[in-house]
Amino acid sequence: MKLDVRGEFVPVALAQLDPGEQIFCEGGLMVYSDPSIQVGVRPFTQGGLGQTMKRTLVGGIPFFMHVYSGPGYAAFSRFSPGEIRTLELPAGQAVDIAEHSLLLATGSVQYDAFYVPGTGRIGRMIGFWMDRLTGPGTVVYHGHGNILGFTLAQGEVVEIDHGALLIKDPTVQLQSFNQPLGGGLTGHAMSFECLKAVGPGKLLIQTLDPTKVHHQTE
Amino acid sequence: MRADTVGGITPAILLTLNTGEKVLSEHGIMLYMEPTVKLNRRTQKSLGVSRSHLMGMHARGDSEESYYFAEFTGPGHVTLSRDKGGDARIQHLNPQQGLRIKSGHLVAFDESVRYFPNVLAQWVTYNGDDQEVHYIFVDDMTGPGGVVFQGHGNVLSFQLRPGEMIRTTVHGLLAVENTVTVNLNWLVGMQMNTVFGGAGFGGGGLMGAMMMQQGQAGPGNSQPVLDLVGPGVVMVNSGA
Repeated sequence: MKLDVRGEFVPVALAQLDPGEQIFCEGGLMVYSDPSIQVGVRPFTQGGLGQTMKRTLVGGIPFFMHVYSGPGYAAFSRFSPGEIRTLELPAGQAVDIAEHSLLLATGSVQYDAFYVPGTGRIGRMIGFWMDRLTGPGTVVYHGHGNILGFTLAQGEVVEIDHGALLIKDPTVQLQSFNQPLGGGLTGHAMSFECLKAVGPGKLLIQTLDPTKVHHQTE
Repeated sequence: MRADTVGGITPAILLTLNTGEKVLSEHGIMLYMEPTVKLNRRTQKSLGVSRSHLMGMHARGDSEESYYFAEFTGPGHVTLSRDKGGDARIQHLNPQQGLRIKSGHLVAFDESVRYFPNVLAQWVTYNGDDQEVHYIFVDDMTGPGGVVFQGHGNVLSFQLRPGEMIRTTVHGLLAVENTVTVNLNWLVGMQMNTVFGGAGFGGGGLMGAMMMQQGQAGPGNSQPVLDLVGPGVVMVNSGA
């Protein structure tokens, strides 16, 4: 796959595919494509029936990923201001990507999803899903706004807004917690959900919360 | 407070706080922070804003001023983002130097800065028998200390000489120094100009704009604009 990122403010990833070469992505991300591109689906059934039901019915993760087969070109976008970056994964290396950020991956990449539990407060965050992609292959992702990087040492902690999470190494552990706004009952009543990211590993965050952007455009 | 902008598309503000240093921001815009930073809440009352003033602001309808601010205490780093694409500006105010920042753009300010929410201008529009009152809310910031705010799109700054005037739309205004006189005016079309004698409907200064009463709307299909008269700094944003 030859990849070309076009546009600056709301960029698209233009993938040029050789005959038989495949990429996959969520449905609804394709902006334009060559008529010679074949479109199919790839069912996502890892973990058996129980996990599949949990992902699709509870988590809203699509059962099918869309597969685009060459020859030809196809362009994809997350329709939001931000940066598009690529990641080359060697065989067996994995990376975790937050919801609304995976743009596409080559057909050789293994796709899975896992659940990060929330704080469980009534009416508040019940957790969220992350995509886990395992090499070999190329992964293309979209960071909403700008992308900021950290390399966390063993046991190093950074507290982040859950909308800011973009990418992490599987070695970085996430823990949801309520951040009180001051002391007392009022402080606890006004607390908000955050994530504690504990190293070691790489962590990328984004400056634009995609859920807030979607709210504004609705 | 040391403040740096990081990123170009949707910039975030990276604050570096010394031990015991306190910075206030709107609640809910924190992106990440180090565990050494303590988070507390501050009421508007503790900043000298009375409940009755705040209720008066809310009674006007469009004001979204929260009663609580988030207070970050150093040492450590905090990053804040307003989830908007636009230039961020960091300004250090001298003692008694004042800056009025349009509501919704303030990111953070030093504890030493005096904060007071206010109404910069108001006007009325009519749609048939219905009338609607519009307000421009501002955060009045008075030094000494640092203030960080973010425009929508690009921020353009103008240093006005005494008596020099610049006209901006009500949406384009981002911030003005308190030495700048603000007049609400009406931009009318050619035909309306003839009928109504041209644009010239406005108060004298901030008080004049604020004294505009309901019912004193401009001529039909006209557009409210702000005439800003120096001396002082005016900032407008391109993505309003």
